[in-house]
Amino acid sequence: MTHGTWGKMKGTRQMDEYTIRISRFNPEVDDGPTLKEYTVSHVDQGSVIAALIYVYEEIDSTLLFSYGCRYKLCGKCAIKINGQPGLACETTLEDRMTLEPLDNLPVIRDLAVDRSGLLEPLRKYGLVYSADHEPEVALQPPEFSQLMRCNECLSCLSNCPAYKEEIDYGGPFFGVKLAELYYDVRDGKKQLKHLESFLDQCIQCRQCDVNCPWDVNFSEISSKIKGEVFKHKGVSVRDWLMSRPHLVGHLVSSVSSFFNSLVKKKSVRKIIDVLLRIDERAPFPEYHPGKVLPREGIERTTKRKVAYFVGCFDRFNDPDTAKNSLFVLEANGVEATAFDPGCCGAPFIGLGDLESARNRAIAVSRELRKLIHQGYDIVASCTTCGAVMKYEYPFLFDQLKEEEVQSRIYNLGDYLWQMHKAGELNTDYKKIKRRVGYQSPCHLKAQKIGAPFVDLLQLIPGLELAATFDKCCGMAGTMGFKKERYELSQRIGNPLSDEIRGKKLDLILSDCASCQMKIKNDAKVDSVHPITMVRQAMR
Amino acid sequence: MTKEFDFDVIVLGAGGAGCAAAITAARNGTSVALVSKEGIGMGNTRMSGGEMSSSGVVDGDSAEVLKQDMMRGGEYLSNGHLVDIIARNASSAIRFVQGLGHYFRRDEEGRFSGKAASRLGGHSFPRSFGGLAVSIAHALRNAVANTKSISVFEDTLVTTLFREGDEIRGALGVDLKTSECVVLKAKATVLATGGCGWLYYPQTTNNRTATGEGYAIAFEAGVQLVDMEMVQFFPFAMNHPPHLVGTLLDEPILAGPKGKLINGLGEVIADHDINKMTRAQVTALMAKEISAGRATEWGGLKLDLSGNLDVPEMLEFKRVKDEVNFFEKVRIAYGEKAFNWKEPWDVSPSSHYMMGGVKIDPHGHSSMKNLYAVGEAAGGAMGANRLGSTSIADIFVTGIVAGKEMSTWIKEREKGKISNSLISREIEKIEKLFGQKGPQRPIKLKREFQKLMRENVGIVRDGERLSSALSQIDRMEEEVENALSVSSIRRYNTEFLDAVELKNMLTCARMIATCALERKESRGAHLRLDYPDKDDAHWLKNIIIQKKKSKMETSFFEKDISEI
Ligand SMILES: Cc1cc2nc3c(=O)[nH]c(=O)nc-3n(C[C@H](O)[C@H](O)[C@H](O)COP(=O)(O)OP(=O)(O)OC[C@H]3O[C@@H](n4cnc5c(N)ncnc54)[C@H](O)[C@@H]3O)c2cc1C
Ligand code: SF4
Ligand code: SF4
Ligand code: FES
Repeated sequence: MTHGTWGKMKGTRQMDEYTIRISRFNPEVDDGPTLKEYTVSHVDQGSVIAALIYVYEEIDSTLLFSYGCRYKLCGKCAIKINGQPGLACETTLEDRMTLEPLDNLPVIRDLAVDRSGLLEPLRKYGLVYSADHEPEVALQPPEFSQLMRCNECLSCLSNCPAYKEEIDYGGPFFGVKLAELYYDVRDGKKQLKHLESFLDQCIQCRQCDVNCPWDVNFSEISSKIKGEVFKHKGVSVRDWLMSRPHLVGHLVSSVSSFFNSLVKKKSVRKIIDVLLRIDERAPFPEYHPGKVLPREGIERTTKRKVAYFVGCFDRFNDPDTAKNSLFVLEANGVEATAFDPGCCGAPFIGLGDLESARNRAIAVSRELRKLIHQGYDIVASCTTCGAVMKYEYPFLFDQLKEEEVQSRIYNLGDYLWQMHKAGELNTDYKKIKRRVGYQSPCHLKAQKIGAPFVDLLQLIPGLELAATFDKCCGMAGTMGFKKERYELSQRIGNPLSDEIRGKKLDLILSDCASCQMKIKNDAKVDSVHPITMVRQAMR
Repeated sequence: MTKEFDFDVIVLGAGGAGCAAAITAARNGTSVALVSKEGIGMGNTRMSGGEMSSSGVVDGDSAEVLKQDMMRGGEYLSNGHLVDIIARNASSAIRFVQGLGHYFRRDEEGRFSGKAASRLGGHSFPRSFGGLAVSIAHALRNAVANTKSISVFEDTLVTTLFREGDEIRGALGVDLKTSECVVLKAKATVLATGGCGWLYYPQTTNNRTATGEGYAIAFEAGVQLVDMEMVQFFPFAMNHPPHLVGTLLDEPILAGPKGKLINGLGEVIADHDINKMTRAQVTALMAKEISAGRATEWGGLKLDLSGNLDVPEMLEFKRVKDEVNFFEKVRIAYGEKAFNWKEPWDVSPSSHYMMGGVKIDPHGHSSMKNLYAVGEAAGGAMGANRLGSTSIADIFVTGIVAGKEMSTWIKEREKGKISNSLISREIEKIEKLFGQKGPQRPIKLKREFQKLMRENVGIVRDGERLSSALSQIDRMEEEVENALSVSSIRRYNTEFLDAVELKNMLTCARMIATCALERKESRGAHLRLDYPDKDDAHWLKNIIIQKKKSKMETSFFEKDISEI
């Protein structure tokens, strides 16, 4: 995994030879796929598809891959490039690339997946356009145009953890098609009922947006539709509470030690299970009292001013991460302050309560703007809060749309890495002899900034990053707590737990608090935010 | 294991024309098989600009005016009856496509008006409606999936038409995922296999699957084809970097009123109103410069759009295109300044559309009983040059018309038998390819062939090069018979696919070169250096090509002057 987005064609570049690895697999004769190395030459400024065509023409024409249009129109060339789905025709070839077929679809051979399965779901989900006449006047909403851009490459299906695990879930691609009908003014919103049960399975991990070549961004659209569904449905006590972590945090943290010991009791969890339908097997966060405050009297050596966004989990469940983050920033001469405007609204969005979420977005944005005016950069360690401010605020609530504002909102790891690149990070770290793993949370991947902490952790002498993981943990915000969705959450999360257990590590670093909880609970391995390591390494 | 199926109608090719024919026939109570070597709703239809002609949306326009434009644009070689049908039904075909769920661009009030239409080169009025073609493709696939009496055969390559006596009784396909043969028996067979731009790869705007096989298998079955020399080269396409060569930029309309074309010596060869010219006219202009050795370093010309930066309609044009990221590849390959029209674009003509094809009557019926052809597989409507947006109109009109016609036709017909010996002979030909040993990999020969096509049977032609091409085609046909190596993989064997396609591409090329050699004048897309002028006195006629007693024969079809 590398920091930064992977290549799109830009500029001229010359290189004589590239070595690429291609997954070869014929299900009729092979037990499983193997990666084979090929040397490709004279494909200056070439795309990945050019390299595949080269291999096919010059080396081995038993290689199977598909393409049609040669530039972004047909969607047929999508494969996994260095683990990420993308169009082979629009991705610039780089040395040492690994090319594999998309996930979650049957492989015909090598890189080609079988797309013929697309017809059945179209029948099954009743995707029938049924307007009986073409109206005189028909102006489509912007969502419709956005959805129409889809070139059906199926990258999103390849990424979707819920599609992989839930046979009844059509996944983002069919979601796009259903949503397109829903937003089509001519078809008249007939699809809402359908979409309701369909979207129930979506865990809003945003992985469908990450590699979409046309920025269709289904997860944004699905949040909107969930909002529509929510308007027609009531809300349970549990969901009401769960969407208000800040309120609950306030109530509970004043009696935190009592509460923590109470919910450790099996009998109590059983009661909660029955009464609130919070699954007794699910992890449960610990609560802490108090407020996170920056220290006084720190020497400033850079011009940087940071307002550190204290998320609900930081505030009430894991004050260490916030403290460590502020410590690291301040120790590097940054003027840091804790920015604690209350919940970012993510849980409301998850529930579909967009009105409440909008109120949060407006309140947070107001405060955030003030800080930016005062010269602060906004930095969040929680990947969900960060993704929500960067993507949902502008798209769902028309907040923080301006590039000048957006460009000032950072993920913590990214911010530190940029300080490092500017020579502003003191990396005279202590040696830490330890083997750890790193897990990339979905909402970090959704920010398309790679995994900056992987690079940062490599600056710590002695620290061995023995494995990186990028599967979804299955917690999906609050889904993993919910009794009726616990099974799905487990099915999505189990592959990660299995993989982690297989590596025999005693610590997994993950930027996301939900992932940490889930890893601790299921893989039975300790898990903390990677800033903890950086903090420990400081002299 | 060979499987056999019986249907009323089989439709070969599932782009716009094939899907429209299948849906229409099925809606009229017939059982239909829809077959494609790729998925449903693919082909050039899916990657097109999605522009579709209508008529009569603005005052003064009518089906009659559209017809006249197409006749003039086709330099009077078009079959007037076909043009008439297309022009009269274009608007209802738009409603058909809308009815499947596709949304055509409307104006800012949401109306389907002239304001939302573009006026493409050679059209007298704004009448072309755009939309994203993938969305047409999805609408088609969705409609097919939800039409009960259509059976779908995806990834199935059609290799032969079964002809018994003087009629077609079905077709043979190969399921590429298993390499099993499928025998499809039918009362009516429809060719909807699209065009043949891939003969010129990489100098083509077309999809990888546009290999002209429909023309070849029709020819092999003794069916008449028409206008095969008329291959349209689209004027403005990319010419570098290598992997984008040939991909489409835009119509002459892109040049706007003030765009300029500049040759490799820096001389301006056209400086205004390029947008009013037809594709054939612009391509001819460019080809003249290029073949005279005055090309840019990339082998094309420079298109300078900067003059249009103060033309409001052109800025609006750019805005609309940018909304759907239409010129993204220009930004990527030629840079930001070029993307914003501040630097010229290097452009070359690229093989785009086949005007020729299976000769049909106004109902889509070919010269052979029970065989229909629709869309780009059919020929005759576009004459010597096609106007922008008329193909999408044509594929839907011909698809719908033939779909309707067939459903009546088949009611009166008994299904003819296909003899077992014919079936097993054809299957044997297929089987023999798997594991065949030889010195030549099919893709190598395919690339050599495509180079030959670009150089000898391309935009500019002359007797010498065409004759030489024909003799090289002979040689290559022999190699295809005797020298190809094909692995024995049964699971989607692309060497097998290449071998079959190449054989058909060669047949198709032979028809193009033969007719091109025959036509001793320059007209529309057909440019002869040795006969540079248009010769109405002798050449206002179509060339028909047909296999007779295993030989290729040409004949002429004189134009009825009263039609013009
Ligand atoms: C880049 C581009 C842009 C264009 N833009 C426009 C536009 O804006 N307006 C316009 O009017 N026209 C446009 N055209 C032209 C137009 O798109 C095509 O002429 C039209 O779509 C052809 O439709 P069709 O159904 O006849 O064939 P296609 O859509 O090409 O479908 C043919 C299908 O048959 C299948 N097939 C071929 N051989 C076999 C076989 N042996 N066995 C089984 N299946 C087979 C192919 O795989 C394919 O799926 C454009 C073309 C291109 C390439
Ligand atoms: S947000 Fe996640 S679960 Fe939902 S559709 Fe996208 S990838 Fe699938
Ligand atoms: S939504 Fe995006 S990623 Fe998914 S199929 Fe469409 S274009 Fe591909
Ligand atoms: S080849 Fe068509 S999208 Fe890549």
